[in-house]
Amino acid sequence: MSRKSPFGFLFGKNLENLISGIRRRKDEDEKEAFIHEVISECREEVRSPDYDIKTMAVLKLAYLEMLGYDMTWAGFHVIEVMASPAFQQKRIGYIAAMQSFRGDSELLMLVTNLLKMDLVNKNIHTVGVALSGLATIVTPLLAQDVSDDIMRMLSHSNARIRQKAVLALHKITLQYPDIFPQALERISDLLDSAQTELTQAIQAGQAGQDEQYERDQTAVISTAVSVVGEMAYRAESLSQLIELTPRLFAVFVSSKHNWTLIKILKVFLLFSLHEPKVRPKFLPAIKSIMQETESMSVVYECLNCIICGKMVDEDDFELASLLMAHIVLLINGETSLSSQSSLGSLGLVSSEGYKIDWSGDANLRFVALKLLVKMAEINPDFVPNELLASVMATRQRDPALLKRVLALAVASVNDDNFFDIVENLMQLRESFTESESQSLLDIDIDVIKTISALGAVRNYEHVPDFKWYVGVLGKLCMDSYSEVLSSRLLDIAIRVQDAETREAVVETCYSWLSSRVNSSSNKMMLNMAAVFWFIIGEYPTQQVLDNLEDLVKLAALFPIPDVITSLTKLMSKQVARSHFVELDLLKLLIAYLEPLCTNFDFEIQERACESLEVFKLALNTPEKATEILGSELRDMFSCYELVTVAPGTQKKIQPPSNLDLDTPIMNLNLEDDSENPENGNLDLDLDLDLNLNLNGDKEHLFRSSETYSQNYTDANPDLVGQYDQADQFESLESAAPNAENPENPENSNLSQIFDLNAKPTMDTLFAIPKSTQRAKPAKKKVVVAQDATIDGPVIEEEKKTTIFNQPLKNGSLIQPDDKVKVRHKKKSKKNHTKSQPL
Amino acid sequence: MAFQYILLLSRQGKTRLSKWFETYSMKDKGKITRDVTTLVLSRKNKMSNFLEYKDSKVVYRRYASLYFVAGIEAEDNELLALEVIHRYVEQMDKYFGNVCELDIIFNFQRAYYILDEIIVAGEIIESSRREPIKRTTQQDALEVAEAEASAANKLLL
Repeated sequence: MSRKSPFGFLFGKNLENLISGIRRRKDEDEKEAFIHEVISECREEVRSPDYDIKTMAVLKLAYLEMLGYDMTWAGFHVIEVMASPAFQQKRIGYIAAMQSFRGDSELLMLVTNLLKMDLVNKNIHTVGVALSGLATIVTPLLAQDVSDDIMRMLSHSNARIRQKAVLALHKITLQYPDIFPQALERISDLLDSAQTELTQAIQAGQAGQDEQYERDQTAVISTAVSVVGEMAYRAESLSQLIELTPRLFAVFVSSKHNWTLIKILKVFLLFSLHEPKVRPKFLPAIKSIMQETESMSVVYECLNCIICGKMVDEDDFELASLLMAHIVLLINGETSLSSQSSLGSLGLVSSEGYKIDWSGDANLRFVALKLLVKMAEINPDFVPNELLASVMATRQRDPALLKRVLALAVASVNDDNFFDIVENLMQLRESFTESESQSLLDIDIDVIKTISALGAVRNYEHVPDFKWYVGVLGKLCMDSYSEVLSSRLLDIAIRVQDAETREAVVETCYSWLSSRVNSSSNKMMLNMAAVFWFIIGEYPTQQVLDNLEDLVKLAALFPIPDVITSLTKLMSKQVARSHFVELDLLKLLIAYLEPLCTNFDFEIQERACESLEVFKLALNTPEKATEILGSELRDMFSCYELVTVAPGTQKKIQPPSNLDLDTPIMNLNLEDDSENPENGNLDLDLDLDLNLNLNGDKEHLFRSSETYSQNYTDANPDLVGQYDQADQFESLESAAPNAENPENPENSNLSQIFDLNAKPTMDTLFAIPKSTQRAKPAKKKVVVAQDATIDGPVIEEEKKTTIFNQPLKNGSLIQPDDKVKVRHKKKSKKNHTKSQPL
Repeated sequence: MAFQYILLLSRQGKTRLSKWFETYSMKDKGKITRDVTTLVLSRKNKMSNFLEYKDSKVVYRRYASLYFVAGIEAEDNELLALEVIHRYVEQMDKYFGNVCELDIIFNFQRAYYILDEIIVAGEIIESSRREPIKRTTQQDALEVAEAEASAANKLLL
């Protein structure tokens, strides 16, 4: 075919000038100036009475729009061009409209009539262009106006128009959902008639005379099916659509058109999830298509439909092995499976493992891996260890593929392959440490996360040897900073109640900390260090306690409060063990803490002062030092065992029956208060739920906020007793509203001091949150007490859990039949405060 | 279940064609184009043709100096999207005769016309290899006839 000349004869030159003009100018500023010049020319040209010039300007603007220059200002002129009787111009108008119209209602009002006219134009090309345009620019109003016209067009004599109309109808229902039932009916009629005519055509035209007619019907069916699929994905309920199942099924078993098959499989997947009863009907049909087709994309879609449509039961190994065989074939780029139905009979499994060609098409590998992950998620045993080993051995470098491999590893890890997977991943990491490209760094982080996540699968069930696993994690910690790793080590230290494992963890932490001497401290490093210091403080080994002095010297590297707590704890444990206070060590600690008492970090200052006082006390009373440090101080840390609590546990806790959240804590029952009997009920609701009760009018709300602060001042003895530390606040706050009351001499004194004689001030306003603050701890305390009643905890990997100081007696929190006794964990910083002295 | 956009990018990251099947603001279009361009250009030869971008998937394939990029939804069939891209390239190749980047640059509206015959509102509508090209040629013939008629009219006046 001959090369087409650049656009048209009349104004080809003009567009060419623009494009080559842009291409010629290499300098960005120059280019920008040129484009702006062209745009301002266009502003003139679109007003031209000559439609050739007007159209050209719109076309140029459409080109510039593609490069990111706004053309919405030209909307009206675009419509002028769309309305041109010449097809060449109309077509350009529609292209520009599709690109630039964004639901501007005023513009689209002008379009409505134009569209209605174009839709009934005697030239089918015009109708086609109008339909494409409508499908793109449709808005709710426009949808209402043209919906009837479009539905009529579903029976247009031209197949192409029927196709475009059904697509446009779908877009219209999205904007105007009221017509959904009608539209669905019309679409299913269309599907019916096309299917019947196709069948008749095939029967009649056996010599293939009427090929075009057949093709048309196939195309209409394909489009109608796409639209049904599109509707199914967006529908809130599938109940209406699922009635189409018989029609779609008939198309499915008879169609030879791959793209149609794929679209139907997508719909079947949704139907199968929605209505399990259809599965036995779908499955054999899908299996037979899968076996017959030569199209990889159809095989992939069949597998995807069966696997994601939950048609494979957890224990259906027969079906699983068929699917696995197909997946392996897919990787190898083959489709025909003939009648054989297992890997063994295909000769795909041999003593050396799987005969998989990993050098083939990366795209097929990608989709096959996705399927494998889903298979393993249904039942890890569906993916044989040999296959996994073969996948792992491929050393994927493509981030997208590698992510699937990692997901597959986590999904199919078991006792037998744990070691191999981890070793393999470690080797994989080594292979890309030389390269420094960003994408590889990202992969490296993914690999580290996977190694960490693998251990936690089913609560460490598959870890063959904790000492080894901890060693692996320790090695990773040395290579790269990742909080995932420190959290994992903490989790292991707490959960795995095995002396050797803990020793290994502590050793890892110790050597990590002592190797930080030459590294600069960044946030990530300090976050990890905080966790490691905590672990050492909580589970010190003999060696750590013997070498406490070294640790104190090391402490200066880490400007974080956690170090102080950890060292205090270690000191108490050391004294408790040796029943003797090493004065040199004590002095060393004091020397370390003293400067920290003036540290700019509040938290460090606070902790340092607290610990320092205790140590000084011990130093000044040598005869009692052992008791103070070894017994009293130690008990502060160890009176409760550390327990981890499953996520969501706190939500399960019922508030105790005697917790009254409705009665105001204080009620200032002054004379005028009697007028507002409901005042008392308002305040705590407000601040506890942070949920304004908006029943009343504005005035009402205003008054309630006034009484708010008043309610404060009237002590409710039951509740206030719990908050002794807040006493000072109350005495001050009580002054505020009372200040207006001259009958109270005490208050008028205060009012002089505080100048509170005016309207409520910031102080009184600020009083509100204070009540919230006081209410919260009460809830927490209650929570701790009730915790024992909670049933078996749910372990959710990588979710932060909360921690409570909790007697370990609550057997329900321990899983008795685990290989290692395991408790629930915690990661947040708060657990350092848990054993905070004083 | 549908195409969100089709982009044609040069190896230098210049946009040669962009077709959006959903309504995006100018700003979003710009951001998606930039992000996707960076992602696609950083891919190496032997890698797969699929990428993940936010909640969607990006399917791309390089033809000579041009990258054809399609944004599809997460549930969509990636292989099918690749086939559609290929079909589009095939059609342009037939239409222009050994299509090259310059043909698309200077005839961008024609590249749009052909695309409009393959994908409407994000859905594939053509089912045969002959159909789109036939339609586009018919429409071109219509244009030529119109232009000749109007030229004749001008002469007569």
